[in-house]
Amino acid sequence: MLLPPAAHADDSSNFIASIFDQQGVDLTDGSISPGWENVTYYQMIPEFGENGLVKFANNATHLFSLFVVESNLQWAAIEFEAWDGLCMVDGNDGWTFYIDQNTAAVTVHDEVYKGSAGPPTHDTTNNLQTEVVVDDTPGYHTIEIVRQLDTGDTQDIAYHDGDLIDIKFASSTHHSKGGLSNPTQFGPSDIFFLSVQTTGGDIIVPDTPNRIDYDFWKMIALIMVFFLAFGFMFLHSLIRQYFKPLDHPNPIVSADYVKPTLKYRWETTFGNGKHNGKHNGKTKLESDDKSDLIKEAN
Amino acid sequence: MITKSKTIEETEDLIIAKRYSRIQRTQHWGNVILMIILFLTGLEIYSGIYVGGAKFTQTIHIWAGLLVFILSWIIYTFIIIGERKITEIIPSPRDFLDVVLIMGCAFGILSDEKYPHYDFYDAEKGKYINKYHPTQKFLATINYIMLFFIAMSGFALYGYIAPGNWTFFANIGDWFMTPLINWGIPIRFFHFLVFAYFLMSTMIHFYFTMLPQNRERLRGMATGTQKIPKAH
Repeated sequence: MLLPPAAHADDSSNFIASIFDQQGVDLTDGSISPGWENVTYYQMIPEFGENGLVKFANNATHLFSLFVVESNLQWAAIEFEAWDGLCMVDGNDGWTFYIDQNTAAVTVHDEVYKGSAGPPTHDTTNNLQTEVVVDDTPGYHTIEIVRQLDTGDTQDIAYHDGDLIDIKFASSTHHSKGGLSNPTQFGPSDIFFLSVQTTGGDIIVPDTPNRIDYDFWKMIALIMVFFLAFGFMFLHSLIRQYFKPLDHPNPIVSADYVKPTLKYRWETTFGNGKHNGKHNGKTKLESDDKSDLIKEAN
Repeated sequence: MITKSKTIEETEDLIIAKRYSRIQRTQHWGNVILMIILFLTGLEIYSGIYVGGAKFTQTIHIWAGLLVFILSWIIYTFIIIGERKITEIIPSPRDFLDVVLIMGCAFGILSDEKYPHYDFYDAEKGKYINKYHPTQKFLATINYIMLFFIAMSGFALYGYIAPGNWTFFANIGDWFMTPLINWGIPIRFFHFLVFAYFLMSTMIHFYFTMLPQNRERLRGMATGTQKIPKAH
């Protein structure tokens, strides 16, 4: 499924043709605008239901988006400039679609996220133009949204040519519990790129991102940790507990024992086995079993 | 003021030496308890499966994180500076060489006669000399630094998901983590990597405490004293 074929009733109605002249999105026709049929780039979003999907398009001035969401969801949402491993980051821009299960009415809100401190708040100014087509596909609602790339509203993210925006989707069945982050199998989506290219009203792609999969690398790090730790323990116990255990000298030393210096250690290890035995004017007796060297030097 | 270790008891065969001060043991066992709490609550956050609710876990985690950071940084700094343990705890160039020699001995490149022995005790003066294994000194120092990074990244994360709480710490964490953000490294991923370091180093540390030859040292960390045989 991409989209149900658009049964566009009235081509003469209020297209936003002046800003999207190749395809056009009509927010007053009560149906999915036929322009979306030409937008062939889309992404299936399981958070919005099995057949949930999202399309984006834009021209030089406006961003167009189309969401197909399961009608039995209580809400569905998109977060812009999303963070990997976190959701609803404080101050982030987002849109939420609330679905009234009694009336099937869908309300679209332009919102600002507040982290886990509370639910998102509505923007002071709603800069979204929307049209909701209820049950155009059985069990699914379709939402068309048009927004200026730069609304001038400080609560909204401003898009510029060439931007790659990280976005994330969530819904009432796929979100982090308690507003904490960290996607689980029931959590919000992975991050997608929203590519904004304004040349010639080109297609915007919410594509599978070509980015570092941090969850994968976390797993690798954990495997490495256990591999290194247990590998070290195994090797150490094999060498020092079984094959060649160390015979430590008597730890009791006399009062004239002086802590070995770097030079002393180097010379007693690599210096032809000899050392002058003096350090700061004192005889060095590192341990009984090494005193032979010192006696020899003296 | 210098806290000088004294021989507190002597028998025919043993010297019972004071190995760890009360403040050192407080820091160590406080760390153990708090690290366990941090590990369990961190596991909840990582898995998304919460016992007692997300906010409860989050609160416990952030409080334990703050406590371990303060406990370690304040007490550890006091031990190093106040108790004048700089050369005892901070690795010196000789410790670098000793680590190389230890490795050389372990892999048969050097004979065990060249092994740089440590942990001597001057019974006359009642003090330890070269008290710690060189890798233990590296461990303590790296832990000290890593604790700073895991705390700062934790504070920053808390600021993003719970704005308005602990703003002071959140801002400090955010400031230190800004270069990371600019490099495009997720703070949560960084936080996890530092945790992975602690997990690995703690497992190895725990392994060494369980070795028979370290039993008396472990006893020292529990009771403060260590039995040292007079004759080897």
